Formats: sequence, structure tokens, C-alpha cells
Amino acid sequence: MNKNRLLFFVMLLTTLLISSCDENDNPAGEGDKTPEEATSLLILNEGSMGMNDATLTQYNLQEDAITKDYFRNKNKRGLGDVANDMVQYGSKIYIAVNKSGTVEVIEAASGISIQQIKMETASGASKEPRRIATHGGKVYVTSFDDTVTRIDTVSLTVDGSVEVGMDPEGIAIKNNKIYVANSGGLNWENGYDNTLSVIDLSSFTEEKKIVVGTNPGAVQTDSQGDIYLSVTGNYGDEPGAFKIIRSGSNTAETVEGITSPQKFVISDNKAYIITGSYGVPNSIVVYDCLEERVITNSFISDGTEIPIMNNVTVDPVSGDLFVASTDYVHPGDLYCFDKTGKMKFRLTATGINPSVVVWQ
Amino acid sequence: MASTAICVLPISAIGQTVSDTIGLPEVVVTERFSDREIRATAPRYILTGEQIGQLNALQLSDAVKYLPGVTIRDYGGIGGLKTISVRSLGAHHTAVSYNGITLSDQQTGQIDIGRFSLENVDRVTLHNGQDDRIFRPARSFVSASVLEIITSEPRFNGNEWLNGKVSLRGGSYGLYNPSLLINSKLSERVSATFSGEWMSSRGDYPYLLSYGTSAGDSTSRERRINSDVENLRLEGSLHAKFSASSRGDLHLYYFSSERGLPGATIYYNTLHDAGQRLWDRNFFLQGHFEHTFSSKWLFQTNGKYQRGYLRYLDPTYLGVSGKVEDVFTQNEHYGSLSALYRAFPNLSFSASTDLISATMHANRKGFVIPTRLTSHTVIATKWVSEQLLATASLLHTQTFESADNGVAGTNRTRFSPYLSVSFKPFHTHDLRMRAFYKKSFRLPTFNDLYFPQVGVRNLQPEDAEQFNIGLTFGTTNDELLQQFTITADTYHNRVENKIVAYPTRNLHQWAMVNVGKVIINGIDLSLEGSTAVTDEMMLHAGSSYTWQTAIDHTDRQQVSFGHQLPYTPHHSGSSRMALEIKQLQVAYTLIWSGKRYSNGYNDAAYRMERYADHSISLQKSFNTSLGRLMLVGEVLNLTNKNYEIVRNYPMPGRSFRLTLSIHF
Repeated sequence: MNKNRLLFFVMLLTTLLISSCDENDNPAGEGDKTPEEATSLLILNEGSMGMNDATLTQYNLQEDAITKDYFRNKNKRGLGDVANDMVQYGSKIYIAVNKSGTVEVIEAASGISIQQIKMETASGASKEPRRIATHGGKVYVTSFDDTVTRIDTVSLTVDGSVEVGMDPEGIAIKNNKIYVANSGGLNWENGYDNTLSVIDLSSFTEEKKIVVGTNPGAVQTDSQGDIYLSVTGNYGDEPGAFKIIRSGSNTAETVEGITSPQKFVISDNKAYIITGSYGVPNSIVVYDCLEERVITNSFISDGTEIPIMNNVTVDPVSGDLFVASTDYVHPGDLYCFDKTGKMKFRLTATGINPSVVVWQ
Repeated sequence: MASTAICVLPISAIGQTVSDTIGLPEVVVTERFSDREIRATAPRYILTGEQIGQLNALQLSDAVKYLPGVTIRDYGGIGGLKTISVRSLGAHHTAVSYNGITLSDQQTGQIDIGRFSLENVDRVTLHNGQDDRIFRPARSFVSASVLEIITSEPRFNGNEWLNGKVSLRGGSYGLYNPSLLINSKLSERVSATFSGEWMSSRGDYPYLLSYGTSAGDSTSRERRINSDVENLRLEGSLHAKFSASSRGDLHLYYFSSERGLPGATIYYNTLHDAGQRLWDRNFFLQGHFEHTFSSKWLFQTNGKYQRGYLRYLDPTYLGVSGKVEDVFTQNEHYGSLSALYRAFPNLSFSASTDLISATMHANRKGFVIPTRLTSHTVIATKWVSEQLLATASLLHTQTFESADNGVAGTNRTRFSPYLSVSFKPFHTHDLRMRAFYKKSFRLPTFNDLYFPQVGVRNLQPEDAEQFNIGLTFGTTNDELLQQFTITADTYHNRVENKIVAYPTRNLHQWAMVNVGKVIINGIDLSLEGSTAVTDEMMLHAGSSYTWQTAIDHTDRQQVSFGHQLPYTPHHSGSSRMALEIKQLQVAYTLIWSGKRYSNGYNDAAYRMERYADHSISLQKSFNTSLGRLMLVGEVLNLTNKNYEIVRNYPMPGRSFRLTLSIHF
């Protein structure tokens, strides 16, 4: 009798529990097979802070197949926390993972990581690597600990470091010089930086700083050696501007007619500049660097609206434009436009903060 | 002391005729807590001190996890932030009250319930909607739900003038927790209590870091870094019976803590962000006085001064200064007047008005010094009979915002109606049907309004609407079960004008906006019972289960539209069982949760697997010449389950605690 009471009681209390636990529990599984020799895109998704959710998305152009979390599928581990930049150089791809304090070097063809280069300060915290440029068998990485790190592409180890201004962002290399935009973004309370560091490539030392305007971000060069910068401003009384430093000059001039420039890229002497302000969908301004004039204020010609663009990449062969959209919270999309500004395809929800694209 | 409100409100005790207790306000109505749960017109869950003792709980958050409809956002470890969200409305919609008076944090709008010890707690009650007791300060009518903490009142047997408890607790990862409670009868009319406690822990528990969410992904064994915590709590209270018709009390509370903020477990660099620290000091002095003028008129007044100090340090910031250091102080003055009028034996009315003045200071450049004056006024009515219990109230809120050296936020006016009813159709069975409707809101916090570059001055309050219908059933002295209660409720909630941070131009520029809209549907079930297995063996058991959908209805264009809110399981629940054999007690507890997503876009990549956390304890009492000695041994997370409630904030694995206490 007592035993029955106990049994009844236990059953009563566990019935709910058992029935409610019965959930569909398939593990996250997606096919990771890509045919060899296939033409694919690799999309970098930066992820969000503290979430370890930086990913690569592979898109097979021929099969129209998407593989999310490509890096993890290949390497059985995630990329890390906030991957800010990715560059293909030779047969390898280099990815700067900001909070994780790593540069992942992967084999472009296979997606397999062949080296994870630690980017740490003396105390063991991350240097917060940010942007990458490549030249002459070396990879150069800006980091928020106010340095540019040089990585040798043969030994895949750090072989030098140079101090620059505050919180360097964009980096470009031209005519034996490295140009680094010192943003001072982490010092926003007491004043941003406003300089561009010029580093001699051979001696790997900083030659000078050129004043360019408050809080510079992206840097690119054209074929003539002109340097272009987007200066972000202080989000208050100092507005953003698009700047040019002509080859050989030490002064930054404002390019008129381009307001609130953000990230941009130069390909075939054309600058594709994301511009925009709050409440209005971003647009892409195309600027001809040789003729020094705006070709169009709105590259997208088919009416597609993208509220916030996170980054833009140009296919140097076809002239296709890849625009990554974001809301900074949920996975964003990757749009592909042909060179006339008409959408060719759109990949939805590739990952958190999708950014640049490389070809595989 | 807040239980005084219960004592003078005979209408809480439906079992007794109203006239029995009128005029005898000091008589403590010895109604069982389980009866209060099933009689309530709105879901009310009570954990008594005895039940808390069976829950393997150290902090308030540990105990509250067992209640249906509750989601605790737990960042892991003793020092990790723990906030409570009830029925997916969000932490801002749950008020936490301490001995009847609402605690507040005007800066963040949410209370860290990990901060509260259970050492001197008499009971914890969660009120969904509103409490049926209408003779209460207006502020307790404001929130969508209230978590009420009531500390032990001094009680003396016969000629006793001093009693108390000394206890020492130790456990894994350097847990050291001595405490002392003293109750003293100063005179026939006045008694005093003192309660003090120290708690420290290294908190460096091991965990398994998985570098991916799929089977076969790499893992590494890590130890939590910078997870230490040191807390000091000092409390004192005075309880006075001035006359047969008036009583009052004063309560002093001080809490000081220093803790490391271990941060998210960043892949490949668990040291990153692992140097941040938080210092926290809270102080309040609150008083309560009540007087019975006649059998028809009762009056009470409450007042409080509260001060909060918070210092945050990040010593590894890569900016020029090499660190981030913030100091925030908050001051709040609070006063309340309430009256109850018992117009007829079945019908009473109450009115209450509260005034709150709150100010915040911050050390950093660009912060204004905001002051918010808030008035809450409520009128309420209640009908009580054997078959029907109904309450209605209307709350008016007005804010007056001002700011030194800056622009003030917009003043707001709001009306919040509430209706509830419970009906007992049969005389012979304690079966009740109940329903409530509540419209409430939460004000924008000081951070929402004033945080440099993020705060928006004209932010609207966030609105919440709740509909609930339910059934309750109870038996006592049944042949099979000594006592048994079941409650089942289904609810529909809506949150509109939800305040969320929104990027305005880029990642660096966020602003608070009223864009969010959430529709929530759910079911809460709870079962509880006791049975005598043999003459010397008692079994107590309880179980709760919640099913809910909390769907993002903000923007059709967003990928998260129609998806479940982050960190909100569809299924969750708990079970607890305690077997008492003479002076020995064995207790088992279980908390489990189904899958959740860490992102509002419910993709497999953001999925968090379900977990179950089992704990057991063994408790033995001895009667000694010093008093009653109690030894408790606990094994927490028995199966050493590696899990996270918040992504990248691992919970501790298997750990142990041993407590020795003497009740003298």
C-alpha cells in the first residue's frame, strides 16, 4: 500500500516531465561536400562580440548550393569571435579574428586551416587584429593595440611589428609604402585620431603621419598612386568625408559630393563607396579615380533597397558587385549585382554581419 | 514585516468568515501557503523557507528557477548576473520587492537577483499579474509581475528573549560562507533582528569549451578565469507593536561586493576581457507603519531611502587610457500612503499614493545627471465571498523628468487597469476557475534615456498586456495524499513599443528605439503535494512545467519575424522531491530546459541544446545542548552536465557544498 502510494506520486510528478521532453532533436547538419574544381564564393561573416559566431559561408555558383559554417565544417572548430577581415593571397586565405586574437591561414582550395597565428599582447589578451593587406610575400595586419604586424607567408609566423597611431583600421600598400588609417576609435571619449601613417615597406618603419581628418576608416589606392580614405567624423559636429591624397602630396583634400562615406573598395580605378545616413537605405557611389569624378550616386539601378550595407567587394573580372547587408543582430544577406547595378542573386541569412567575399 | 499586510487582511483567508478576524488585526491567520496559491485570482507561487531548504539553493535566483513561467538569465557562477523574466515579458517587467517595498535600479531597470541571499528569507512569492491584497503601496501595482522576498520575522516561544542561528557553509571552488542571525525581544512591544553574512568564492570552476555546436567539433578543458566574488551583507530590523491597533517596523540593509566579470569564453583567447571587475554597494533603510482606526478603516505608510554605488573597471582596454572605469551612484527617496475601507463585509476599497524621487550620477564625460520624480496613485476594490473573489484596480502614473547639465527626457502619463476574478463552482470541491487582465508598462531606464550617444530622450514606455485564464484544485487530508494542489494557467501576452538598441548608421552608433513587438502564448502548470509514506516517513514533491511561444512580430522585413525570442525555450520545467525520515531528509531537485536559440533568427547555428541539472542533498538534524544542530551536504549538478544558459557563459559542473548550522 505504501509502496503504491509512493509509486503513484512519483508517476504523477514525472508524467508531465517525460511527455514534455519529447522534442525533435536533430543536430545541426548540412552537407559540406563541394565538388572539386568548382567555382565558389567564400563569404566572411564577422559575427558579433562575445558570441564566437564568426563564420565562413561557401556558395557554389554552379550548383547554387550554400554551405553555412564552412570553416567549422572543414576544421571541426569555429573561426572565433569577430572576424573583421579576409584576404586571399596566393593559394592561401588570411582571416583576422579580432577578439580571438588570431590570424587564421587557410588553404584556399580546401578550406583547411594550415596555421593559426596568435595575435596577443604581452598580457595575453588579444591585440584585436582588424584589417589585412598583402604585398611581396608578406601579410600586414593592423591591430587595435596600435600596431601593424608583418607575417611571412612562407613560415607563416610573425616577423615584425611597427607602432602606428591610435586604433589603426584600413591598410593599403602602394609604391613601396604602407598606408594605415589611425582611427582612434577606442579613444572616442577624449578625441579620435586623425592621421594616416606612412610606413616604408623595406625598412618597415613609420616615416610620417599625415593629418587626414577625424576618425579615418578605410584606405585604398588607385593605379596612379593616389590614396583615398573615408573619414568617419565624430558622429556629431564633425561630419564624415571622402578624402584624396594625390601621389607625392602630404595633404588630404576632400572629394566634394560624397557625404557620409563608409567602407569602400577600388577596383579597376573605380571606387565603390558605401554611403548613407540613418533612416535612409544606404547607397553605393561610384567614383572614377582617373577622371576624378562621381559616375553615379546610386549604383543599384533596379530599385533594390538595402537599409544597411556592411561591406562591398568587386569581382575584378566580371565587374560584379557583392554587397553584404546587416542589421548587426540577425544574420544578414549577400547581394550580387552585375556591373549595370541589376541584382543577379541574393543569398539570405548567410551569417551575422556578412562582409567581404573571396573566390574559391 | 510585510506579512503584516496579510495579517490584517482577513479577506485573504476565505476559509474563515470575514467577521471572525475583523478587529483582530494582530491575529496571524494560520492559513497554509498552498491554500493561498490556489485561491489567488492570478497565478501566485510561494516557496516557503522550508521548501527553499529542499531546493539546493544558495542564492535567490537558484530558488526562483523552480517556479513556472520563469526564465532566469544566468551568466554562470556565484558572481554572474542573474535576471528574472516572467512569461517572456523581459526582466524590466518584473519588480522585486523586499519586505513589501519595491527595490529599484533606475539605471538599468533590472535587479540582479543573484545578489540576494536565502539565509534569512522566510518565503519568496511570485505574483503574476497582481496580488489579491489591495491594501498595498501603489508601486506594487505597477509591474507585470512581482517577485516578493519576505525575510524572517522574529518569533519567540514563551519567555524566550533571544534566539537565532549560526551557520557555516563551505564548498567547491573556494566557497566560504559564514552567517549569523540574532533575534532579540527588547521589550514586550519591541523586538530586533540582526543578520550578517560573508560569502567568498574563487569560482574557478572547470568547463568544457566546445569550438562548435556539432558532434565531433574540437573541445578543450578550461577553467573559468576572473570569476571570484566577495560579498558582505548586513541587515538589521526593529519591529514594534505600539498598541493593539498600530504597529511598525524599520529595516536596514547593506550589501557590498567585489567580483570579477569573467566575460564570454572567447575561442582561442579565454583571457580576453577576463580582467574586468565590478564593485557594488547597496544600502537602504525602509520603514513601515500601520494603524487600524476602526473595523472599517485601516491606514499604512511606507518610506525608504536607497543608495546604490557601482564601479566597473576594465584594465585591459586597448584605448590610450589603457582602461575603462565607470562609477555610477543612484539615490532614491520613496514615500507611500495607503488606506483601506471595508465598506461591507464582502466589499472593500483601497487607495494608495506613492512618490519616488531618483537621481543618478556618473563619473564619465558626457553623462548628464538625471532626476526622475514619479507619482503612482491607485484605487482598488475587492469582493470576496465563499464562491467569488474579484479585484479591480486602476493605477495612474506620472513622471517628471529633469536633468542637470543636459536635456531631460519626456514626461509620461499612463493609466494601468487590472481586473481579476476567481470562481469556485462547487461547495464540496476546492476547484476554482480564475482569470485576470492587466495592462502595464515599464518606463525607459536612465540608460535608455541618457546614456551618451545611445540614449533617446523621447523614448516611450514599453507596454505590456496580459490575459490569463486558469484552473486550480486542492485537496487536504485525502486518503491518499495529505495535501495536494494543482494549478493550470494559459496566457496570452503582448509587448509593444519594446525598447531595443538599434543600429542607427553603423556598428558604432546605436540608439534606443521603441520598435519591438512580441506576442507570447503559454501554459504554466504546477503540481504540489505531500503524503505520509509511513508513519515516520513524509514525502513532499512538486513539479512545474511551462510551454511558451514568444514570437517576434517587430518587422516583417527582418529574418527574425515570426521566430521565437532568443533564450526562450518552448518547454521548460522543474521537479523537486524531499523525503523526511524522522530527523533525516533527502532531497532531489531537477531543472530542465528544452532547446533555445541564442539569436532571434532560429537557425541551427544558434541553437542551444536542452539540458537537465540534477542535484541532491542530505540533511540531518541533531538536538544538542547548544540547540538544534543541522548538517546539510549537497551535490549540485550531479551528472556534471556541461551547459550554458547564456551563450558562452558556461554553468558550473558537479560541485559540492556542506553546511553546518545551529539554531539556538
